[in-house]
Amino acid sequence: MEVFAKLRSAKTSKSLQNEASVPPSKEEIINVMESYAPEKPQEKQAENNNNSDQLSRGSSFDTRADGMDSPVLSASLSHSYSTEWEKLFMTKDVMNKLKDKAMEGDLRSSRFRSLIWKVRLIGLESTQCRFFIKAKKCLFLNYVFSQLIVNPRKAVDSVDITLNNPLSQDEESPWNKFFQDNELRLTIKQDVIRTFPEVEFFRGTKMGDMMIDILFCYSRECATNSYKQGMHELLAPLIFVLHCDHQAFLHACEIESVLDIIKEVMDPTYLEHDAYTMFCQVMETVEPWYLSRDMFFNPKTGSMRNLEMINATPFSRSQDLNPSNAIVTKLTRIQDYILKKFDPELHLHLERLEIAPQIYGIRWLRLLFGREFPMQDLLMLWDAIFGDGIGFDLVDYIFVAMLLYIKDVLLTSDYATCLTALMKYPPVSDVHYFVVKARWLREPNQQPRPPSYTHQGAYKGSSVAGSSESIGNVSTIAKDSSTKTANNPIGSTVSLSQVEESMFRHNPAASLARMEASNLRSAQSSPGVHHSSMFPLTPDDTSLASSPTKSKGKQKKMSKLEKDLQEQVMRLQGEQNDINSMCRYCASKLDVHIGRLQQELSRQNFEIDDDIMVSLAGLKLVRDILNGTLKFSQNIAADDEEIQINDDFYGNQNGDGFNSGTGVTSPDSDILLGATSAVDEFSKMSSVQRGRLFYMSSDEVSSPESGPTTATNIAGKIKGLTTAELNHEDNLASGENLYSRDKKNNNPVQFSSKIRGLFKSDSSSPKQTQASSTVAGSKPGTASNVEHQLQQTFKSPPNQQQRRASHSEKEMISFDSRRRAKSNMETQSQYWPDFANAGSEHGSPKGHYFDVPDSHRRNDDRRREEHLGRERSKSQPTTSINLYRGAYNGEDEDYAVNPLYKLHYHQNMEH
Amino acid sequence: MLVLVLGDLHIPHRCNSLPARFKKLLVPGKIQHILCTGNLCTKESFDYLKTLASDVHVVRGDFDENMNYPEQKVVTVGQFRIGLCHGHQVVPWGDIESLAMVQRQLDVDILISGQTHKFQALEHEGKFFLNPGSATGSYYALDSSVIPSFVILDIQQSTVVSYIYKLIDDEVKVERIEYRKS
Repeated sequence: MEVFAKLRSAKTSKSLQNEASVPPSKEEIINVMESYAPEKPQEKQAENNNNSDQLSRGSSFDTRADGMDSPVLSASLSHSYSTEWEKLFMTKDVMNKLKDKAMEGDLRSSRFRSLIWKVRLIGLESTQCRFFIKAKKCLFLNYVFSQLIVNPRKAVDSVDITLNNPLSQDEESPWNKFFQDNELRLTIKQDVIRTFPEVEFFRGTKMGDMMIDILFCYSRECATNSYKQGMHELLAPLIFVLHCDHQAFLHACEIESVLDIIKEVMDPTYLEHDAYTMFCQVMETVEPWYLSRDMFFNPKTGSMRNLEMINATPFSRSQDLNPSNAIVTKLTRIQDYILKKFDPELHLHLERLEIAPQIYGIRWLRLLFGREFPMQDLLMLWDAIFGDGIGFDLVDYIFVAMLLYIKDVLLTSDYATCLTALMKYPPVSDVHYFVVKARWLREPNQQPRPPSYTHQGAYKGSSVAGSSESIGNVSTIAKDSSTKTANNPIGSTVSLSQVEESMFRHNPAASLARMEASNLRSAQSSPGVHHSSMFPLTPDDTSLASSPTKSKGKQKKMSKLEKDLQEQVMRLQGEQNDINSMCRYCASKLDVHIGRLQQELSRQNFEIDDDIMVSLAGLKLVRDILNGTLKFSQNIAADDEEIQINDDFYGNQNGDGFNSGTGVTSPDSDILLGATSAVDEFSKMSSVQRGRLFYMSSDEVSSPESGPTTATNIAGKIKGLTTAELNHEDNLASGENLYSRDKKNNNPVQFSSKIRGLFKSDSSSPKQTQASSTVAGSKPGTASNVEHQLQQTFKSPPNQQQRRASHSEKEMISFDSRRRAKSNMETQSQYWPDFANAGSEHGSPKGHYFDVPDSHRRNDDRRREEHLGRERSKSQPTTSINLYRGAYNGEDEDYAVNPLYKLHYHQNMEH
Repeated sequence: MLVLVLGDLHIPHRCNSLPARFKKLLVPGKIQHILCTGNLCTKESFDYLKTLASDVHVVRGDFDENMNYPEQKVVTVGQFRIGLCHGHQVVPWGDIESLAMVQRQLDVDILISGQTHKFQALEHEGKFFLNPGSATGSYYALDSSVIPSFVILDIQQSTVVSYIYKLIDDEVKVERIEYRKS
């Protein structure tokens, strides 16, 4: 004990760097140290012996408590200072335990944080370390007194006057040194007075002076490396921690008796020494990061040259230019190796934006993230970094973890925003997450995988539905979920991670499904016209795609439903792709049949029947919609009224047994192929029996017509054929079940009777039919309605088959009405001029026709003709024309130029 | 505290500039004050001195263009009162008795004068008399071989240490003279 007293008195007498004070004799210190050293082991066991010692010395009895009561105290007061000490340092395997504690972030409220840092930094056993610290202190003192202050006026006689004069620029000159020191101090001071402006602790001149001294000593001691801006920010937290611990120590001294060893180690008078020791240890690792070899000192010429200027190669990145620069090498390694390994996407993004890691990373590394986090968070982070041991290996991974945390922000923003995010790191709710993540990144096998969550700040308000405008919100959400999923130790990170995972997971799923679809498509190799390999998004498509984003809010909270939802999304995606492929298939089939039909028509070469053309055009419209070349929009889509009107037909259709077939809602490619063959068979068979069958049907259909019919039998046959084909195609479009059913039965008669029945029902309720075609019954409308219905059906599976079927019927009905319109065809020629007038009257100026491309014009004309007939019969030209216009003006798709249309058009013009 | 004392530059009349070796020595950041005995003679010379230290005191020599410089000046540095006078007004030129009169008149501890282009430093009646000579080595009316010289005063509490820089044979020689205030 005497030794301590002696040592202390010896030291306290020496106020640092005061040249006026008496320099301590080295011998004194050495003596003190020597006498101190052998006492060390004694002291450790001497805790109990202290009693007798101190009692015999007549010191106060409270020291008695020192040895005896501390275990008792530990039982009663778990927060006692001594207890904490014992818990931390008086256990076996101290080093590893301390390391673990530091890693787990348990030192947040520790009163021995500074000591733990010291122990971990110096890397000695705690018993050793006490002595080591002492010795360091002495060394430091020696150094301070022997070298710190260069006073040129002192060494007047010893040094040659040519060197020892104020203007001398020789390296050896004390004056020169003096000036350099002054300069250095000034530089340090400039930085120090700006250290942590928000922390009151650093404002006093006392702290400032201390920091200047320490930094100055350091930079003088390390000849290789002078002071660099940023070092002060490494020192400041060290001093802060030391100071806090010392305050805690003083407080503890007031309320309880403290072991001598603690007194020794936590002596507040040695704040400066301790800080210096620790700072040196920290700098041992960090120092290379401060070295910049951009400037290369050439001893021969005595000049600084810039190496970069010499070996710069064109088109190389700046970070590749100068591999000798330690920090740049390190940063490049972090970005190009670690980051690339764990997140190639982010790496690519940064690469593309040409954001070199040194832009933001130099500060991150050099200050050990000091500017990125508030003080308390920073200390936590440092606990881990220091606890991890010399080398600060963890820093690299924390670096990457930080990047990954703001990944979302980075990926969604441009250069400027990225830099802003990097330079001004967003606030973080739980800094310990970085430690966990970094450890996992470093040792993926040994550490539990941390939840990966990212910052979702105000940068991307829309995707998070504004729920996380600030980090505070995020944390509250996180807390919400953490209470629900309590199994994770770091509660605040759980749900967000899952959200993120979910967000990223369904992307690959979608792309996978899409790939599947494309495979399907290529496997089909249909001869039809494929306008593009990509089909445009139908409204259904988008609704599907947006459904996960809509449900994101729920996912956030119901993290358990996550997987179910995802499966659902996957399934829906798959179904949608099936639908898409089916549409494509149907379109191709339609195409084949239309072509066949047209061939037949041209071969038979009878008088042009308007209805045939109308129905052909309708077919083509359906085909185009199915193909995706014709954009399906709500304009085209049939109104609800029509559906209501057609509700009547459900009953009929039920009677027909249309809904008896089982739904094949998600056909595989096999099924599709099978269906293809089935259709082929069917079409062959139907072509054989076409004559009889459709003749009958046409008869049936035309019988209720009151108007005079000019159509011959052949015409009727073709008409019927058209209808049948239409029916056929529509069935195709509406679902495989019809095909499978037809195939199964293989009974054309039944099929025809079905049609007949339909037409009968049609004729039995002509009013409805008329209404349907008048209000919304433009052909594209119904056709697209079918499409629309189709997709709806597939979206919400089999219970709607009935409806689907009804729509195919409806389609027929509309064609039927057109057919009836045909009956007025005789009068068409007389009305033709009228119609033209009406067209121009009703808001479609003639100029319009000349604006559109040729094919379009032809289409328009054709449409007009189609209308003509119906107009005649219904005498409601205005609405229908407008409807047509709307439908056709909206579309930009290039209609395939059909020679038949041309023919038809010319013939009509001849009228 | 370092004080640069120089004078009688006579730029551009008798010399084009300071010797290169002097210029090399005189770098900013070391000197706190500059005391100039005059005969700079142009504004450019004054501007040069300003680059070495912000605090420049000049008295008027007989060839100075700037008529606003004072004839005499007293500057207090540390514990010392320093008088500044070119010396062409003091006859006979460079005479110690005459200068002592000026010193008494100004009541200074150190009297700095020029005019003779010859370095001189001596204690007289407990006072310190200093003549930095000509920094450019320009000729003098009575002497054509002039050694360029200037003086740095290192003023600590009660001690003044003068470092005299002379350019002899293109080599800078340094002398040191200490004066203690009694």
